[in-house]
Amino acid sequence: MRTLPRARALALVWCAMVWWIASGEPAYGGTLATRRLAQSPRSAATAPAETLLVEVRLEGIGSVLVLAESRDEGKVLVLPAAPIFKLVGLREPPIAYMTLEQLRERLGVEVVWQPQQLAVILFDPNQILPASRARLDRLRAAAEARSGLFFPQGLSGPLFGLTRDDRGATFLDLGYSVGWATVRASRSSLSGRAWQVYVAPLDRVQISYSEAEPRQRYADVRVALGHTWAAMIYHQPNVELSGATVLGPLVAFASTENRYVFTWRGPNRLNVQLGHAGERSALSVSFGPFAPSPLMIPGVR
Amino acid sequence: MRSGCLGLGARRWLGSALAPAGLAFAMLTGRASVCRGQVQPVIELKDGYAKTTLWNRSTELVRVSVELRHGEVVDRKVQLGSPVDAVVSPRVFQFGPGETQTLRIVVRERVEPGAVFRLVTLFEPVVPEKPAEQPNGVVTRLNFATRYITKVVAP
Repeated sequence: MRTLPRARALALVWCAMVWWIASGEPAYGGTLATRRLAQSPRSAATAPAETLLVEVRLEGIGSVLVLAESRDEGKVLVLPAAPIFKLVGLREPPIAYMTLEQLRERLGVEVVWQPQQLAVILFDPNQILPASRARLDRLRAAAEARSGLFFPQGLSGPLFGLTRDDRGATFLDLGYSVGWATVRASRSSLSGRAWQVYVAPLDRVQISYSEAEPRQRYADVRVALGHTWAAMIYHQPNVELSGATVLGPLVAFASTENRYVFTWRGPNRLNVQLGHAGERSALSVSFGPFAPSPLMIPGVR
Repeated sequence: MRSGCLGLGARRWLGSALAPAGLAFAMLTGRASVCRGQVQPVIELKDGYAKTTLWNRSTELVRVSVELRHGEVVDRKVQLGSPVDAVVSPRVFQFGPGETQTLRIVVRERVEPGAVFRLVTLFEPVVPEKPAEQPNGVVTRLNFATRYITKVVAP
């Protein structure tokens, strides 16, 4: 048997090993590591990302500080989506990280990146985001509470009113307010006597009681806690419990009198209501600047 | 026999005398850029977070690098120590004349009340790769980098 010289044999073995490594799929640590690096978004081919502390601000609502990544020499900013979605009142984001462009598409609002301020500002002039709408609701509620429509808080002093019509009927109204409480008594030559007490001991609690000669006694207690509102109404001899809560774009109202309504406030001033009262159910779709009351049951009148 | 040339000692003496003079002449006649950055001398660290503003008061584009370090005063001199485990954002950036840059810091390590860290801010001019053409073809440029060491204090 012919034998090969040692040097030639070693060279052949070496070439075979090189070919085997280069062409096959061996469990070769270097190859695996290289592949992982190539699959990583931070491969050597791209510029190293810089970590930035960015303040994401929703105008008029609040802000949140996030750890963002600036990639491609500052051309691309990647932000964690979860805290931003929480800020604007949305639930879990579809992906963990988003670029500014993806945020614009997903939220539907103007997104402005100010690198010198390290701030991302979200402008929502049309109140598309749930947080913007909730703020608007709070402002409306506060404005109604301060308008004295139901409880004239902040106003104090005696009140008096006398009305007489061409039939000779008279209506006399007397009372006194100390700001957080009001007592009123009235006498009508047609409907008789009546009196009412309004008390608002706390900003979030309102109590009223009234008696009138031809009508039955009426009392109610209303409590507002964050985005939830509850009321207990006593209208002799019945007691009704009702409540409403805001869950993002959805407002739910229900009452023990077999009445409920779900209101969905969609984009572009679109409102959809599904309501039920007594034995009647109704679905209402509306569009326009005047949103329907989420406490009113929709129906054909 | 003495030649007309200067001896080695005289040449050294002349060189040592002329070198500073030439340097001063170059400073007066050539372009010299001085970075006038502005940093708040004391920054308050609340719950591990601090925010401040840097200003570029010069007339040139400036490259800035920032780091947060431990430090102590020895013989009335600040001696910088190891880097603090913190996110300094941004660490390196450039800003133009008159511009400002917000700087945010989040310290990851535990901060004792009364702790003092050192914010090291280096302002350097951004030198163009190709200098401006001069009639005689000679360009002299002196670049001065300015380093500020300010305090970051946890109340």
